[in-house]
Amino acid sequence: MAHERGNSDELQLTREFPAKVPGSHLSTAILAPGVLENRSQPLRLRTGTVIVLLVVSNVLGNFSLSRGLHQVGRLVSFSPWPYIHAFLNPLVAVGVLLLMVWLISQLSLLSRVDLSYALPATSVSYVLTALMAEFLLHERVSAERWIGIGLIGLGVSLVARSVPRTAPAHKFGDLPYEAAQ
Amino acid sequence: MKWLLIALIVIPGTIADLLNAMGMKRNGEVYDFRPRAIFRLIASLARNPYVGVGVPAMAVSFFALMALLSISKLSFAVPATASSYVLETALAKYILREHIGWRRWAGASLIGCGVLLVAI
Repeated sequence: MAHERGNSDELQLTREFPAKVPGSHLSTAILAPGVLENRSQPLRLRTGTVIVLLVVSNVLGNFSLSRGLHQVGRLVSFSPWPYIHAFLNPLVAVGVLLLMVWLISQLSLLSRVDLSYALPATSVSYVLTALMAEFLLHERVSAERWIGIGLIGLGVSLVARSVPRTAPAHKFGDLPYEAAQ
Repeated sequence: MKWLLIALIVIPGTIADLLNAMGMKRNGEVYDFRPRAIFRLIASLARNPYVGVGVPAMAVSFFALMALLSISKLSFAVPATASSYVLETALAKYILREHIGWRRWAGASLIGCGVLLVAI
């Protein structure tokens, strides 16, 4: 059965590439030396927390940036000046700050998990945007949109149940992962 | 103009994701989010050639999306990004050598369809 085979494939991969499972990095073994020497502790964020930060900063950042840019007006230009002028708008500035948070969380997420595991995080923003339209702005959300939201939710839950990291950590074109250890 | 902008969203966006994934895997896992640690991370990423090309490519894709949104409706702009879920999953398999099981294929396809429907 496809289901059975898929499961055993993925279990095998955990053995081949020992991935960091969310949660397991909070091991006391790493923190102990710092505690003993009274050094300041690193601010550790779980992978799940990084994903929440990523989604929230993406949605709010895009929302305030697009609101701000609508106030600024049309923006199709290959010269940098209209863009620099747009940064003077407070909504645009807040949006850009939030998108910097988004960039850092996106990059640190990619340092931990596969690209194909991180990709669905951006699709959650479509769901949140539609839910915001329905419940905050009281716009009617069409049946097609609800079906779309359902499909995105189903897809995200499927990807979320796969092994987060299978990509080898070696440099591009270097020795295989096993040999590099 | 619209189609040029769509090409400027999809192609640099895909290249950016692949390069950032490669660069961040080389950088090592990021766990410390204190402000000083983030500045150190940014300083080390500035010397990372993959991220050095990936982030500007991301910016090109982002500004092209902003420009497209300012001249057309969301329902024209979003379907262009729907295809990228399946495309990038395939590229992650062949270029980044990620192991894509049935869950990821099915997930990426469902998300692509869902994004298309949401945009209509």
